[in-house]
Formats: sequence, structure tokens, C-alpha cells
Amino acid sequence: MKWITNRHSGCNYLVLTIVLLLAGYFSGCASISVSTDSRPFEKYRDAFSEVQSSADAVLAVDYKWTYERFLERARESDPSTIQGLILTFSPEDYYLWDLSSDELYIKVKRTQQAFKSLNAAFAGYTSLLAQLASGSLVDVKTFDKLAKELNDNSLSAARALRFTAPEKAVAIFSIAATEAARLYIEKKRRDYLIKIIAENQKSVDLFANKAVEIVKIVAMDIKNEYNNQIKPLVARWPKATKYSRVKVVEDVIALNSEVTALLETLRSLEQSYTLFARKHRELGEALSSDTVSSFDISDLTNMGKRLSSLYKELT
Amino acid sequence: MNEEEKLKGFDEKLMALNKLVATQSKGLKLEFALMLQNEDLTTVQKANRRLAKKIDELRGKLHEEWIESTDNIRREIIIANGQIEKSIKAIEKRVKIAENVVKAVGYIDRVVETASRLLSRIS
Repeated sequence: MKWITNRHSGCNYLVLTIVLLLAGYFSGCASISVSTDSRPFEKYRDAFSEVQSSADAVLAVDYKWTYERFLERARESDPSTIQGLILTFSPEDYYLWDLSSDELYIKVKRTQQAFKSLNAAFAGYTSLLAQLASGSLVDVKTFDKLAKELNDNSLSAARALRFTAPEKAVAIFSIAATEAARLYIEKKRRDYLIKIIAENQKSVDLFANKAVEIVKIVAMDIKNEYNNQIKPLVARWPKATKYSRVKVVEDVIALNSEVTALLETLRSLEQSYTLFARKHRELGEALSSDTVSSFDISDLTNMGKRLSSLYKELT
Repeated sequence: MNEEEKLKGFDEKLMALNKLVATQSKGLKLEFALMLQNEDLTTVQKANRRLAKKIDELRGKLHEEWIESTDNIRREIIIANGQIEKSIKAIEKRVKIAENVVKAVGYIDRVVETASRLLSRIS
């Protein structure tokens, strides 16, 4: 207590006690020395955004092709196409309606919506994780400002009481108190992240499994729709003229390019979803072992970039 | 049926569908080859149509099963999101507490300052 000598010791101790209480309230966390690095969480979120766009694009093609085939059946006068499209209404409910059609394109549409909503929920999860890890949440600048305010407050009180307190010592103490507060909050934040990741790992694994399942179903859809589209294309060949044969060949090549790009995208999507679940677990482990700053997420980022370029090819 | 058995069952259906689609492409190639040789296509076309119908049925079933199975997982993720939002609010609250403590020190300082001035006037 040498750094403050006073004439009104009672008041001096009051200010000192408050500063000490501030330090004490937030202390007990000196073991964590650095802020949580939010970059891996931000990269995780951004990579998923690429996955989401590619998944939407592929599902849109799946729906388009399946719907076009349905329309083709209507063109061929298949009566089931129009029969199933007539809405029926409930006599008990004012707003309820029913569509008896169980056409494949309707199921694909429902899948597209369900997958979109599932991906949106997970995108929200990755975004909230990044927000919780974000530097702005426990901003060093805010605490620097607090340290300055605390310092000014303590000095003004000391001056009012005509204490001879060395300004440097008061400043060090103010910084220590606010730094203790920051570290305490930082530790809480890290604890929350570890807990959230551990508690939700099972759900993330299940989400990845569900995503891989639908990616595989869509791959079957695309191949099946290819078979359905290639048939009328090659059927043009026997009756084609010398010139129109070139057009047939070009159309087949164009369709092949589109299908192979789609299958490549789907393969990357399958790998991505599996990788997301693994990286989620590893992020939790890195947080626990305080190695999140050196956490390598480049495979996920590269996968995101790859999907982004495949997506551009598709759209 | 537990989760693992469900996954296995689903995988088996997927593999069956994959085989049917692969067979379909071979059937189409055969149909095209016969067409070029001006052979009778009736039998192959019938078989291909039957196969196409079966594939559509299985695709539809897989889509329906998949949609049904996603409700729970979507709900779980939404609950997790609520959990993170709560944590963010808790952190914001703690930062606010730190700010309030510093403000409180400021208020007390002002009281001390005023009291000190009054004391000096009295003395």
C-alpha cells in the first residue's frame, strides 16, 4: 500500500477496496492467456456457405429435370398427369387443401425445401459459433476504454482527497483489474464454445449423415434423369441428316458435360459434409487444448473453393 | 429399429437404386444398338419401361423416407442455435457488468469528490 499515502485514509481505502473488488470479482482465470481465435470459426462458417450454394444449385437441377419429364408425359397425353393435379378442399376446414398427386417432381420439390431448411439451420449454427468466438464480443478495445475510465475515476478521487498517489501505479492497477475482467469473460466464452461443440457433436454427425444420404439420392436422380434425356437425343440419330447428326452429337456432349459436372459437385458435397462433422469435433478438441490459433482448416476452405468453382460452372 | 440399422437399411436401398440406374443405362445402350441394326425393339423397350417405372417408385420412396427422417435433426440444430444465442447474451451481460462496475466506481468517485469539497469548506 506504499503507492498511496493519504490524509483521509478511510476514503482512500474505499476507492482502493472498490478497485480491488473489481479485480477480485473477475479474477480466477489467469490460466487463459490469449483471446479465442475466431478465424477458424469464421472459415468454417464461410466454407459452409459455399456448400450451401452448391447444394441448392444441384437440387434445383434435380427438380427442374424431374419436372420437365413430368411435363413431357403430359405432352404425350398421359391422363394421370392432369388427374392428380386437381386440388380437393376439406369440408371442415376453411383453408385446408389436398393434392392427390404423388408425382416424383412433387417429392423432389419437398426434398429440395427440406434440405434447404436443414442447411439453413446448420448455416445458422456455424454463423452463431463464429459470433460467439468473435473478437467483437469480448473486444480488447472495450476493455482498454474501461481501464482508462477506471484509471481516470481512481485518479480524480485521489486528487479530490489530495492523495499523493503515483499515477503510473494507479494506471497499472486499473489495467490489471480490467484485464482480469476480460480474461474472466474470455474463459467463460471458451467454456461455452467447448460445451456447445461437445454437446452438439452427435447432432452434427447426424446432420452430416442425412446430408450425405440426400447427396447420394440426388446423384441417383441425376443419373436417372440423364438416362431419360439421352434416350430421345440418340433416337434422333437414325433419321438425322448429315448436318443434323452434328447437332445430335453436340447435344449429347453438352448433356454429358452437365451431368459429369453435377456428379463431380455431388462427390465434393459428400466429402464436404463428412469433413464438416470431423472438423467440428476437432475444433472442440483444439479449444480444449488451447491450440485453436494453429488449427488447420485449409482442407475445408479448399473444398469450399472447389465447390464454388464447380457451382459457377453449373450456373 | 435403431439409428444404425435405419442407416444400413437406407444404404441398401440406395445401392439397389444405383444398380437399377446402371442397368437402365445398359438397357438404353442395347435399345440404341438394336435401333441402329433395325432390329425389333419391342421386348427391350417394354423391359426398359418397366425398369424406368420401378426406378421412379424407388426414388419416390427414398425421397419420402429422407424427408420424414430430417425433422428431428433440424429441430436439434435449432435448439443448439438457441443454446449459442443464450451463451452470446450471457457474455454480453458479463461485459455489461464490467462496464457497470467501472461506472459505479465513477459514481462513487464523484460522491467522494463532492464530500471531500464539503469537508474542506467545513474545515
